[in-house]
Amino acid sequence: MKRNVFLMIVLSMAVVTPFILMPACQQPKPQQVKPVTIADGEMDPAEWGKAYPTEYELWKKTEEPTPVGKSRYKRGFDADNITYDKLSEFPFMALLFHGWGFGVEYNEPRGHAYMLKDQLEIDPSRVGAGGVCLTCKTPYAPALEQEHGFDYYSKAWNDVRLMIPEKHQELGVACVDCHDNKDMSLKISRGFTLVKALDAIGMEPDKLTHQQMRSVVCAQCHVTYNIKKDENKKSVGIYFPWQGSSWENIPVENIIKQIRADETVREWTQKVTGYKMPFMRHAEFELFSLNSVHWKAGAACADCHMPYTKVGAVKASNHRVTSPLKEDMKACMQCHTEGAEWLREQVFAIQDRTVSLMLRAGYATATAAKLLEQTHEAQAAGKKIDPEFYEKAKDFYMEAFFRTLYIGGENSTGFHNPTEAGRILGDAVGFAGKSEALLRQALTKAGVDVPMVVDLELDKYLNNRGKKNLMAQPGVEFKDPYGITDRILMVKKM
Amino acid sequence: MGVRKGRVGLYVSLVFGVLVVVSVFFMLGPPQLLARSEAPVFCGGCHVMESQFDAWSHAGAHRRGRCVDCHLPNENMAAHYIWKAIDGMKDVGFFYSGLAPDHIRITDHGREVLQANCIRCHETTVSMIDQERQCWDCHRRLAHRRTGAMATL
Repeated sequence: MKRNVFLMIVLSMAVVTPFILMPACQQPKPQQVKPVTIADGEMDPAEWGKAYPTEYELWKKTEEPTPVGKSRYKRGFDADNITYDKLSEFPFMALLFHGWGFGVEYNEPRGHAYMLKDQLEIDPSRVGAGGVCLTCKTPYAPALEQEHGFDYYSKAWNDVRLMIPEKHQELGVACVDCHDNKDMSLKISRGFTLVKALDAIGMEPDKLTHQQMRSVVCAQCHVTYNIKKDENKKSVGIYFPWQGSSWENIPVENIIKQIRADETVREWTQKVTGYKMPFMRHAEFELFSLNSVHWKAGAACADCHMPYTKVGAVKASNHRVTSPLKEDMKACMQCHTEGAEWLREQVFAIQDRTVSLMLRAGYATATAAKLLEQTHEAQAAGKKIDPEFYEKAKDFYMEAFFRTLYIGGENSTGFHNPTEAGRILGDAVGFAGKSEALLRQALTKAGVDVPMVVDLELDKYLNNRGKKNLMAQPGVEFKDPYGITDRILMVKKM
Repeated sequence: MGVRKGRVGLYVSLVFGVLVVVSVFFMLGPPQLLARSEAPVFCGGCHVMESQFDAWSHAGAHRRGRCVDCHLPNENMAAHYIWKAIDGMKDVGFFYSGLAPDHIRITDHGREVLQANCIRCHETTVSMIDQERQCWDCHRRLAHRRTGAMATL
């Protein structure tokens, strides 16, 4: 009998179990059709495109310009076919960058599809550092770096470019830069820059979540970096100045501290002041990931710049990477209920305020640079300048210059982190103003009369630039939307 | 003794059998406890869930779904009923102890269940994109507190 009870229980379980374990809704999982496998080391986007046609077609659209007027401050790839000269947009930059490539030709870029072609067309001084300039411009960079080492960094830019297989010598960012060929998962391709930088901030690449990777693959290039030089001014390496910082916390103060202390990254000499200096580039990732409201909301670079887009029955990440402004705010409206016009006005309001501050900081820094020039001239003429005043003024000038440079080079006109951009530019204004005050007093003490309005001689820096004799581009300058900068500079009303 | 032992076994299985029959009657018979406890009105019956219920009942496309379609595992019936029992008893505990918070927030397990249910219905749409990212991080109006009806409550 005991066995009977046992049997009954087992039997009833045997009847019930398959019923309860039966899947509620048994449909075959939809799988993407993959007609081909992508060979290891395949670089050609067209080959990847055979496996991932949707993404490939979207990526190819990065070749097409966007209609005029969608973005107020980034017009680099508008369909008007004008190459916008950043030095004419922000004339103070012409003064500050005078002395090297950025002061010769500095254009608004045309985006991913043209990144290598833009290098071919620009004044050669912009690629003077050598093969190292290809680091973010060709998918072949990691292989070239590994194969040629020192030569990759130091040899002439075009010589290294010609090491790329002929059909890809003008190819910009490609699938392989961000993806694994096996399963299309996200992958860091530039171990020699980003992995080292992640190491410096104590972040292990393997521990990054997919959502973090959707920002980190962009951070392979959209960061500030420095080029290491040897005694003969040859480029010998490249690195991201993240030392002393941590994940989600790479503040401008740490970057400035690092690059001012590292004597191997004095990449250029600023003509106006005669100072050998490091430089800073587009620190999009650093600014965005530092406690910005969208970063804290869990958004990644790709959420706004490659938003999920309906393509037929499926959604795909839009590989036509661009500003949400140029895609009519579609990315924003995924989360925000407001209409496109309302959202655009909010972005413009943030950018107008940032530009106002950028101009204030830029011209204050330029004024301090001109006073340093006067100070050096006075010293050369035998005048005695109080060294205590001078050293402090120089220190503050550097602090102001790098902050101005940081936000000026960052490609969102403040939007990636409005309050942080405002803080940095406010500090730049403070440092530059103090530097100017100290220099004025030092010069006065030395018997040099400084006029109320310091002549910035902008025409001198804006015209006859480089071999192409580039001139100031009329009508593109960004004016302070609030008019405050002109008041402070005491620009006479016409 | 053997006979006695056998008798005890018989009684036990009889009681068990009667219990099963009574349970099945209550679940599926006229009282229809199973169907009832699946209905949104049942979930909204507790005052603490009233605002979520109201928000849902005024909301868009998902008005056609029931609470249990999103908030309980639906990959198989075993998982569904086991979690229904666990979550149900938990809710009973919170409700009668008075410990239910004013702002009820979803748990980590609840998030996993929810995400799996989003994917269950929208499988094709999301087949080519990241499925770790929680749908409602971007589709923010899906959360009950953001559907609009909540604004007045």
